[in-house]
Amino acid sequence: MAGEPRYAGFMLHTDDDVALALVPLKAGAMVRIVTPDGARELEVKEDIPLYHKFAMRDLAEGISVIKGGEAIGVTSAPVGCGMHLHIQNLKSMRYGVS
Amino acid sequence: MTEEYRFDAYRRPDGSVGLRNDLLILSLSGLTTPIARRVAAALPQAKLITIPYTGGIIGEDAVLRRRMLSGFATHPNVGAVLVISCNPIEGNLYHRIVEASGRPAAKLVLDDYGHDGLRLTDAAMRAGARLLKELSAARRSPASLSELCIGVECGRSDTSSGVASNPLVGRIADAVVAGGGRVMGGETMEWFGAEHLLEKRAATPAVAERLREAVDRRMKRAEAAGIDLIGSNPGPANIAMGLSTLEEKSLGAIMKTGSSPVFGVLQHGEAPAGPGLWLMDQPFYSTESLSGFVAAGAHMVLFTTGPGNSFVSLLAPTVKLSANAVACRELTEQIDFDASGILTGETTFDDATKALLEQMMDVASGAYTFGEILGEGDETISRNGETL
Repeated sequence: MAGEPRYAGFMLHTDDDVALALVPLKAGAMVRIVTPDGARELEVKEDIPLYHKFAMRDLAEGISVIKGGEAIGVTSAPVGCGMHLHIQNLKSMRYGVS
Repeated sequence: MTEEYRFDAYRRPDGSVGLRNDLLILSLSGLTTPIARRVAAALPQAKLITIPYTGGIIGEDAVLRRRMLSGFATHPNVGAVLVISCNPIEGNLYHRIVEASGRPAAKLVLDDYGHDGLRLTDAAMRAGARLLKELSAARRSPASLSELCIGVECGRSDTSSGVASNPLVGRIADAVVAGGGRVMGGETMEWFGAEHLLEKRAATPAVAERLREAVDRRMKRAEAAGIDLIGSNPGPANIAMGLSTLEEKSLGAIMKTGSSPVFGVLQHGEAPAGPGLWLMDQPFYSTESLSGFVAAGAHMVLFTTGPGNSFVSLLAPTVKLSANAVACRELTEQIDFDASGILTGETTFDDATKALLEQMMDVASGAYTFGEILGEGDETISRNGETL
């Protein structure tokens, strides 16, 4: 693919718990991630579709998840570092959206 | 850092500066729309705004129509106005408003031409040609960020908007505010889900209250129409793109406004009372939203898109930006600023902020956006009620 990124993940804010997949990622892949503090490397534990989120650290159940420096929801299950973070384990804090 | 960003602009007698020196053909009635189109076709350098609604507009709509038309007629990028009307009352009113701002104007009313559209066309072409000649003699002089007013908008967003182009525009918003300029954000429905973040930035408790009320009012209207905004946000398309919660979606949208305090909540088309960041309570649809910023005096719009969106403002040069690499590669005559390097690690937010500010100063000084070159702009007046 032309113009394939040198990095396969993107983290917006220093405090973020999550990064985005810039290409579809396969479970077990070592991913190089753009962060405000330079490059980081991490192994993804699940397939991550394009532009979906994966955890940058182990997250316990019931904690606020930070993206862009702000809370975007609460974990509804434990999420290990490198795992897919989406509607199956991340819920709105403000409304009962399932 | 903001002192180095200067541009060259036209000085207006009312103290404002203009990035363009347009002749505006302002047609105030549906009856004169075809005539105004004929005049505009004969004077291709002029810009045309034509409003189909005239008679029977009452209450809130009448107030809004007057605010919007006055804003268009005295927009800082407009140097002169050709007012075309079917009746003398409105023709005189807007002719006087333009003249009071110190701009040259001409007024053409169908009543004065025995409702002969061809005779009016002839007179309008001649008057417009004289105004264009007069405008072309103007020269630009140096201006600073403190004299600039920008609007920030997004349309057809994707994940790249929320994490790259919107945060980039937020940095520009902060730079313009730091330089003493004015920034307007809008699209009230995008605040829904991020009210708590905007309220924290409200300059006073009264502003926080206005923000809450603005969202509640539109939520109630949606509810009354049977639309479940809470249960449907994020929608299936958002979820497929990786957005998990309402907060995540809203946060991405409001990042365009940066981190400055919110000085006030404006009505649609209402000009900010001073420098700083302002939020306009207005429709989210781009054509309506951009016209609200323009009527409020926005010189320029920063418009982020994911996969692309060709629409721009007619009067305010609109810098279209995207961080979607495919859109930047494919839409080579639409995307003015390619922000995709932020995601690929080829550029940083700091470097992209500098490059975009420099491009904005070029556009402010006369460089064209693709939207201007291709004529993708329009202005409109929103309606809330029924005509009598």
